[in-house]
This record gives sequence, C-alpha cells and structure tokens, in this order.
Amino acid sequence: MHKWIIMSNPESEDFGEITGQLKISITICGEGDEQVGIEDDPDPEKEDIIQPPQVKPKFYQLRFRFFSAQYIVPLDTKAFGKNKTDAYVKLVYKTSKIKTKV
Amino acid sequence: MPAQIPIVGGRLIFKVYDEDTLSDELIGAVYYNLKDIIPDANGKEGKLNNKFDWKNIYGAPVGVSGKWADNMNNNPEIASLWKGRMLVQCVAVETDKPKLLLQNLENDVIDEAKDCHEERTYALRCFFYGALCLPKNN
Repeated sequence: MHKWIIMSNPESEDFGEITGQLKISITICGEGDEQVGIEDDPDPEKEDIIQPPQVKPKFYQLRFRFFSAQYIVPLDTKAFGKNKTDAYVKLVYKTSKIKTKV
Repeated sequence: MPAQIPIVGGRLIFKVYDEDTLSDELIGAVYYNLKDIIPDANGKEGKLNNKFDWKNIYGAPVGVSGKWADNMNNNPEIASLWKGRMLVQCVAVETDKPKLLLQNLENDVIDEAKDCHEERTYALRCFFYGALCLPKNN
C-alpha cells in the first residue's frame, strides 16, 4: 500500500537512468475474500520506495551546521531582566531523533 | 545525516524548541527540500549545497494552542508568524556509509560564518503613481 516505484526504461541506452516515479497501492483478492478499500495515504511524508536493480542508489552524508539564531520570539517570561528563549534544534529522521545544544 | 538518491519527496523539517524545566515548548520550524542540497541525477549541484543561509523560522502566533497551532508549528509552509531566523550551512558529500550523528562545529567554519553576521542597512523607495475611488472633498 502507498509505495513509490522508481521507473527506468530497460530498452534505453542508459537503462539505469530514472525516468519517472509512480505511487501505487495494490490489493489482491481471491475468491470469497472481502475487498480491501484503498484510501488516501495516511503518512504521505514517508518515503517507501521500490526500485529496479539496475538503478544504483547513491548515498550522501548531509551536514547541517547551525551557527547562531537571531530575533527568536521570547517565550520565557522573567520577573526581572529580559525575557529569553533557550532555543535548540531537533530533527526527527525516520526512527531517530537528534538535537543540538541550547 | 544520511540521504539516498533517488529521492521522491525530500521534505525535511527542523523543529526549534525552547528548553524549559518542565517541558520543552515548540517555537516553530524550518523547511528544507533535500533536492536543493543533493546533486541531481545529472550531477548538477543543489542550489543550497555549501552555502551559508539565514533560514526563517515560522510557527503559530504566541499564546495560541490547539490543532491549528500545532499544525502551524510543525509545518512552516502554512504558519503565519515569523519567529526568528538561524544561520545554517548544509553540505552534501557522496559516501558509502553515511551516519546520523551530532558534532561540534569546526573552528575554521565558524570563522567563515562570521561574514554572514554583518548587519546591512537598506533604503526602501516607494513611488505612488495613482489612486482610484478616493473619497471626494466636501
């Protein structure tokens, strides 16, 4: 259900080239089976990909460097002195969570 | 963090929180499209790769809660309030074994980023060419 299929043209010169992406949901019913309805993808952000073996995946190391922040809305109200915010950045990536220091 | 080509969506959201003693509060979020960072199938570099960029943080209005406020804080594209900005550099390097980990910033990169903190002053010029349906003088 709700899988992305990477398409390539096996008859082209560069058969490993990606020529399109198609999102599909398939249900198969046998005799006497109750039909399963296909609904909208409940989690469209999730990237569930099926790709042909001739398409070679490339892997990248992404580095996000956070240097500083400005004009952050103050959320902590102080009785004395200036209001301030102890901001940090958090990323939820697939099943992992990672966060910066304040 | 690791990334793989082919990418289908490539939507990446960094959330900015305020650390509190009881529970941390979500300030807003920053949106990235991985396709702007990773080279495309023809090897053309992503437009944000290796660039220093002030990314705007958007979220729900302060003091508002509920389903729509949560939606705004989690999806900066639909949020109505600008909540600040942060200086970010993103770099994509092809590798066989990408990792998800947190590291301290290198000193030479911190020095490079100093130029981005320079304040600039702008002059805004507006020209009014005409008006329609103005109230008439008595």
